[in-house]
Amino acid sequence: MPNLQLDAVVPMLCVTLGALAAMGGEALRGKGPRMPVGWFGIIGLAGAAVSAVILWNPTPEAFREDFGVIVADNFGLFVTLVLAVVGILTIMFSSQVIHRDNLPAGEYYALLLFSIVGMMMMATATDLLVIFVALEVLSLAVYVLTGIRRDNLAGTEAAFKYFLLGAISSAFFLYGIAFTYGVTHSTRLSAIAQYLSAQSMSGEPMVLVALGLLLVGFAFKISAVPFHMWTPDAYEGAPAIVTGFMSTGVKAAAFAAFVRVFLSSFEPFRDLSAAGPGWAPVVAVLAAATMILGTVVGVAQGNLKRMLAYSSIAHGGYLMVGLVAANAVGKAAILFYLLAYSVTNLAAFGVIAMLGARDRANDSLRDYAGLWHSSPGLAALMTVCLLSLGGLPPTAGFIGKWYIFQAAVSAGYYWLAIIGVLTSVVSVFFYLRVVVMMYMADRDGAPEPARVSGFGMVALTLSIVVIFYLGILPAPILDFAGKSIATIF
Amino acid sequence: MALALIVLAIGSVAAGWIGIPGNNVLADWLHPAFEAPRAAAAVAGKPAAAAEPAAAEGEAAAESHETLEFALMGVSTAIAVAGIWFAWMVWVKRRSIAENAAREFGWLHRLLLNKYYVDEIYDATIVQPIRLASQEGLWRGFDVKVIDGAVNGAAAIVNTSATVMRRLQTGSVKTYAGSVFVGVVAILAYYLWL
Amino acid sequence: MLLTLSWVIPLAGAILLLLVPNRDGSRDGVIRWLALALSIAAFAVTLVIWARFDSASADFQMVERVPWIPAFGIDYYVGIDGISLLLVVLTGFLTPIALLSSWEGIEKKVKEFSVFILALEAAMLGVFISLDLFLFYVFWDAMLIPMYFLIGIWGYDQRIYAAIKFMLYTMAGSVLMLVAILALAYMHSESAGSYTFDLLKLYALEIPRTTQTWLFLAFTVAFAIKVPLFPFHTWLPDAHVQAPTAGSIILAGVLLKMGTYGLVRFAFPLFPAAAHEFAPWIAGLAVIGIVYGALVAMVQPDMKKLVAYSSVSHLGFVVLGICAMNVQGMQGAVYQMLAHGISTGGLFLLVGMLSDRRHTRLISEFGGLKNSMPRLTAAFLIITLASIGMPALNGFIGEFLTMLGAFLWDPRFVVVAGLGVILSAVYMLWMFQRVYLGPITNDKNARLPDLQPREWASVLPLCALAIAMGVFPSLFLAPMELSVKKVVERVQTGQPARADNAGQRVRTE
Repeated sequence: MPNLQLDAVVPMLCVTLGALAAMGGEALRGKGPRMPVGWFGIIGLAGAAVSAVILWNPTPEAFREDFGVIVADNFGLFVTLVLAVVGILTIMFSSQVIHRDNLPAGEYYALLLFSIVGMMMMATATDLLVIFVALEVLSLAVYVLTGIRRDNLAGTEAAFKYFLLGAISSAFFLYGIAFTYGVTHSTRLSAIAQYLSAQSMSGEPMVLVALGLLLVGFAFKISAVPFHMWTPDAYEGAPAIVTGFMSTGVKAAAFAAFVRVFLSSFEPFRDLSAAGPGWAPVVAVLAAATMILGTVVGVAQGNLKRMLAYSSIAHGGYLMVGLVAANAVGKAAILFYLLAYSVTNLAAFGVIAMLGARDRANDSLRDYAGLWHSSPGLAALMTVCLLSLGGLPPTAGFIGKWYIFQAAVSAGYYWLAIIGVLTSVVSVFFYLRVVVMMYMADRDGAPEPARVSGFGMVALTLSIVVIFYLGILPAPILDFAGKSIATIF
Repeated sequence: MALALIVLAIGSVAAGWIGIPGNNVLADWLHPAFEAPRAAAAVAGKPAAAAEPAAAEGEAAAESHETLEFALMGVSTAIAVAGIWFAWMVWVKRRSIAENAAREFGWLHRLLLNKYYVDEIYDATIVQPIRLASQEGLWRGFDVKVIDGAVNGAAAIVNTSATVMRRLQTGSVKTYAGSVFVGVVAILAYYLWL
Repeated sequence: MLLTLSWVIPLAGAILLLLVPNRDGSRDGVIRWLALALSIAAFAVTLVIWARFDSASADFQMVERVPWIPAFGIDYYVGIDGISLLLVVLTGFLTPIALLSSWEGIEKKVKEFSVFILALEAAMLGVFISLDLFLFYVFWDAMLIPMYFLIGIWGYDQRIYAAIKFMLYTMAGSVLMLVAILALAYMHSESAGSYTFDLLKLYALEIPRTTQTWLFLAFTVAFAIKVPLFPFHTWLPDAHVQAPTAGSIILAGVLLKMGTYGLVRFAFPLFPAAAHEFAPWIAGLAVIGIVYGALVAMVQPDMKKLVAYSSVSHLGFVVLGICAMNVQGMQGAVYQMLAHGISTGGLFLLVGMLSDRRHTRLISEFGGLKNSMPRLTAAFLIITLASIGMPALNGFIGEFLTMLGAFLWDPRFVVVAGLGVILSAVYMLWMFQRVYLGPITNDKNARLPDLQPREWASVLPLCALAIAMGVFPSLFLAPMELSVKKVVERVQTGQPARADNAGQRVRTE
């Protein structure tokens, strides 16, 4: 019987308990006033965050918490922390939306929390099948969340498209697992790594096919081109805050697993070798295509949610650059970027969510005209988020992009770095377009000051503080990220 | 106006007086500046003997110079006075000479009146062409059309690509699934056949 | 501490001003005075820095160094030498003037306007004092944001187009520079074992020739766009014309200098071999810019655009001086940077006064203004002559030195550049004639108010400096002399000595 340390799953357990409490609380309440079910979620997530910090090991070589297929190594714990932050912010932004749109609170929070459990599992799993299970757990919850506004046609369509395409790519992923098993006789990542490095398997077709199919599965989840087509529709149809959650949490979890699988097990297959191709060139090309397409098509968008969807696609491209770079800098850069990008994107979507109304989403660019005059604070906060997404100093986004490009340059991928910086410039254009609307356009009709809930403002302020903190004094978090990559599995 | 002329007149006379030959105060004023090169040339290699006759020559030359200077002064003054007398005669005393001359030699009169048309020539050959070339050619042509055209063109390329690529997003799930399929085929093809 | 103080004061002031509630505009006056006081305080700090500067030393002085991101060798590392000292003082000097110029011109959202100007000042000061490439890049990009808002919100009719054009154009160049900076850091880590962005350490890096070319080009493109060097100049007319007066003053007075400063501090000394190879080409573009800018300026109907193109022309001299890579050229270049800041800042200030009064910038709308505003005319004349480069005013020293330096390097460029001097007289004096001389042609010009006390306060220092810099140049040349010599030495010795190479004579001092 292997030595199972329960400590490893404590974060996930906290969140699960929170989810169960939310469900139970909603089910058991009478006809009285709504119970603040969201608090269960926050407590659960806070517990997860705290335990993750406690579990984080400054000397990773010494020992790790091992639950067999789940391992709480520093890498997984960092991502767990990011997910906890994402979850807490989402819940804080959601409270207003649930109240305003009359969404089923218990189900909403339960789904959210379960999805986070799936994400945490995906980030800390060391077995391909467990990754798959986690993928399904988080995806199914997100599919439902996408369509949680049952009377909204766009939402239902979005959920259905997401579900269909997600099912297809999960199938590919499973197929890839099957091939991997066929070659290496195991789905445990460590065993796969051992097998692949021991035998010289370069050029072995089955491994390459497995590689390709797994790549497809992951690429779908992180919205890499050409597997990204579900993203704009799903992001546009879902409620804004769910979109925020999807674009950050799902990406974080997917990237965590992506990095783990490809940089540990399939490490020997990274580069082009004399015997056969590796995955790095393919991922590099996908990264370039993703950055370019996400940015260029984002230029043509008039709907803010859709525009941010394309921007998320582009950001996925930047993260892939870090993956391709694959050196120590690259891995740490991915972690830092995930944190910076998650907070920023979630805050931006939070603003969109809070500015919406029951009957109309208020998410087209024109709806933001003159926001400066009606809600200067909100406009300023949104501007900071947009500047961070564009990668302008002194924000977190700048440090994140710098870190990623440093990794690319250090690994010799100059062309990727150049594409990356140039697309950054183009992306600034459509981020600034929103700023133009807010500050420099006039609104016809009287501007109504936006009603923003207390929770929402607190969440927004916290996000901005984090953005500036990461942008001006990034050293502690950078070190934290740097030390988190020592052992990938 | 007259006051200014009076001041200038006094000044001119004074300035001229300083340079009267034989009494020229300024002639040797700049010599120290030229002594050094002369001395240097002497040191450089000219025989000292050559310097002596050169100095003596200078003395004699100075004598004949003075005569020449006075002669020139006299001639130029005479011409000036003659010109003043002529102008007074024609323009003050008997205007009809001027008018007749203007009518007889009309083209000459116009030419001189218009200062040999120098200003107009400048304007037509230099000023207007440059102005026109700068305005239409450099500014409106090159700066706006070519350079700015390139800049705005780059932006237009992005915009057009955006509009075109946007249409790929058809909204139909089948298209999306198709693109997934294309991606899978591409990746596997790369791995299996290359 | 002083250097940091110089930019922290405006930034802290900006943040403080943000907190002043002014929704209805009732506190506009208070905010204006506060902002002015803060900018004058920053200027005072720069003067103290000048006073404490030791002209006898060529090293960086008042250095402050605090580790920032140790994992990558990034420090908060600032210092000042003769070249940056004068630019820092220029920045401190022009910001209060810019604020004064907008006293009545800017009526809406005064608080935000002042905040952005102060934030911009902080970023500009940061650029000039940074000795760490990462820090430099942060300030460089950070400077874009307030400028963008200034043009886009308070500008004229085409302001949004101009603001976006300015931002994206500049950023496109800077991001290429970012990749080059990253490459430098990586190369240092390869050779010395650790990443660093320390400029002085990177000066010592041995960079292979082909790599130098790429890195040099990346840096130079970013700076060439900022200068602006022909043909990367087309953002300038739009940005300058559409910006509010204060924005134009700062843009022309300081922001453009950041491009030339970048060439002197980074591009040329870091990559001397590539610099020598490309200098003739860059000088060629500079000289083309001189003549081209002048010719296009000549035919502009809009005064502000005329002055904008004149900037293209005058800064060509600066770049020419830098390309000469000798002491006279570089000194002239730095001097011309200062002179241009004063004279063009003054031009935009005065043109702004005209456009504030008549709400038009078209030359055809004016005429005979000397009859209604004699004092403004006098000030305009002084600044115009300074811009042309008349002796006894500051422009002469700068242009003369740069042409002298360039002549010692390669006379052919000076022949064409000299043409630019003539042309600058043409377009400036022609504009002056059409606007100020002659009789009043348009009734609206007959009763315009002459210089107000507030306007005197902004115009007088500029005129005084224009004259002072022209008559006492050594006061301004002295601090920079040793630093310039050090830069020239660095650029000259960084490449193997050549007696004669492909017709290019390289003369060292």
